[in-house]
Amino acid sequence: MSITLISKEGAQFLVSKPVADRIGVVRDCAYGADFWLGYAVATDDSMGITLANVTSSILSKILVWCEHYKDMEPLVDGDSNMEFPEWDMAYIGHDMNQILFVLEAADYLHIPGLLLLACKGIADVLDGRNPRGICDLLGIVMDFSHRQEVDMDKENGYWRWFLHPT
Amino acid sequence: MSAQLPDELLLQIFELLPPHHMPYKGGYEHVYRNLALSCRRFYNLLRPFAWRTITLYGMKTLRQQALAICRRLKNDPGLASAVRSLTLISWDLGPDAIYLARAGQLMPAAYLQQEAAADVSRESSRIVVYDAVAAMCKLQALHAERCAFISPFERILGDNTALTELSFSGCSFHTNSNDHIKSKLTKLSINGGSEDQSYISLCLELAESPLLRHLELVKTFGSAGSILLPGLSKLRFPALESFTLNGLTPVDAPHICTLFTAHPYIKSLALFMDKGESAFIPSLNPSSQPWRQLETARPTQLAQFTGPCGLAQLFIPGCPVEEVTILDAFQAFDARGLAERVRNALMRSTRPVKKLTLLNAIRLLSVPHVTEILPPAVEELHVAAGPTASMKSGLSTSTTAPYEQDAASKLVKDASSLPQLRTFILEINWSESEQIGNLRHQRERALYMSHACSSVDTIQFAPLVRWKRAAGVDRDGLPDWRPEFNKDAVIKLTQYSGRRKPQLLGYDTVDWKGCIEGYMRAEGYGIEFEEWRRDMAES
Repeated sequence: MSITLISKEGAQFLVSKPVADRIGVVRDCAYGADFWLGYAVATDDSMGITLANVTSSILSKILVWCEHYKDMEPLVDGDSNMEFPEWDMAYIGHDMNQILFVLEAADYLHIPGLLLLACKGIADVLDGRNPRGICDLLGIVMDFSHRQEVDMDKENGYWRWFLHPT
Repeated sequence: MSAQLPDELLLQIFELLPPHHMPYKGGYEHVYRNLALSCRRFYNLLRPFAWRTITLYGMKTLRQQALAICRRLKNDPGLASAVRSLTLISWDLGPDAIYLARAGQLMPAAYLQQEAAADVSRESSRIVVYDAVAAMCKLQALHAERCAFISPFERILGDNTALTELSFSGCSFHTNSNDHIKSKLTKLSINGGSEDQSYISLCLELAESPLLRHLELVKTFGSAGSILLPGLSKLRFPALESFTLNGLTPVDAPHICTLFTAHPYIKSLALFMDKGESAFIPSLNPSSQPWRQLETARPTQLAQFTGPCGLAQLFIPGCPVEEVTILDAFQAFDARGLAERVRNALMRSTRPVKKLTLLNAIRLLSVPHVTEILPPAVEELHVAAGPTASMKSGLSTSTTAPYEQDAASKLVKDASSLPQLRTFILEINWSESEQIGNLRHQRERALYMSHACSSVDTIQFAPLVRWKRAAGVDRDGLPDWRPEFNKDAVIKLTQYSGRRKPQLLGYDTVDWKGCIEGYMRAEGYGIEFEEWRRDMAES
């Protein structure tokens, strides 16, 4: 059985069942509640599911990940000490904009493994940047004045002297 | 765009932030600080993260700051509950009542009055610390170093039900109620201490935790370790997976045998010798009870062994060991015998040894028997001329005396004959010019290695640089070996040049940054070089 996924722009992607199973939303749509009881009832070969919030480029990237993990379980839970496979890190890359799009899509599509990987990708990109660099990278307004920044740094002196990473 | 991300996603990202400090304006700071100072939303979200792991120093120069933090934690239960790991260092707050009573027999009255007055301020400091610690209701890991706690520790240990990891070093304390601890403790590390009976009893009681999985005993500090080992060897740990002993002496072998044979599910055994210990000959009579036990009952899951060759011979045979570290591969007076013993131990593992590390191997490399030691199925080979000190990031930066180049070349040749070898790490300083400064030379060696042994994809010949084989070929049609630099260590080494001697002894005279930049520019690493330079500039 195969399922056609339709992106925001209307592009169609034909995917096999094991690949589609990695996408929570698609799995729920295709199999409904019976899936969870172990009965795969969907038999319609021409089934199409529209993913209105995911662009074609991001969907194709996500499907690469799903294809890679169709036969094995990805990491779905972790902390800062966990090491991700090399393939995962090469896949997610360092392009912040793209990672953010993947993150939002993974959240929308209910793909826990990819969500975790995207979070890891963002965390890695943020590492080693100063506050101004982080603001520029994430497109956020730095709402601390320099004076406040100095005060907070002073107040939180532990950040420098007493804090150790987990 | 990220401003629209919900809090739960941001929190998940923050959970995965790299666990190391980064160089910043001459000091070291964590990415938490920089993120928190980016905007108010991040600041509020990151506040609990900042308090997750804290270290409180009790030395005179830092004590007031630590006490200020303690007061803040005491007054803000929300912050205190965010603390998961606490390290207390040097809170040995002077003589307590017992000490004063003992000292009273020796010291003049004036001194005792002075000490008693000082003790009032120490006592108040103690109360502040204990109150703060008591407020940490979700504390999971407690590390205490040089802390002479007596009664308050009883409260900390007895009441905190979330504590799963406990380590103490140079502490003398006792407690009467540790039932709660025993129920959840999974990791225990004991480093030294006094011979006080109540302290010994406490350590043994703590070790009796039914969930204990990792046990470490360090004998190098204080005399309690020597008394504790026989006691620990008689206990039964139903869940024990790894045992580490630091400060091993030959007379410890029977106790380790007893402990080893009584725990069939033990997976990792690490036995580190005393500093300066030469060739290790275990004191074990073949007809003794521990030896006979070892012959009849062996753990069926031992997968990792670290220790001297003499004990590898005892513990590895009959066990499914896949990772072996030999600590004393330097017995030059009997190199052939050593090679024979190591080979016998490795060959008698019920599974092929896949990861072999030979430390202190400087003399061993000069004899023609190295190939006899190397197991044919080994996938990762690590040979160090001296005792190693690995960096967090995995790249080694140990320092040893310069060594003859021929021996290293010979080892490269020998290792090339291993059909399944994938990672080869050779920690030998040939000479300063052949370390990181001569990357072309290293690349030639990597090329030679890959020509002789096609399975190798990771090679490290010198500190700070690890060579990885990329897909495809380079511009000359040769295998594309690319250097992977330990950026943090290079920054650390270059940052203080001229102002302070780098921490890594022996490398202060090499211009690491210049060497790497020169090499990357000359070899045509276009994008990589720009990224490297940008990263260095930002850092």
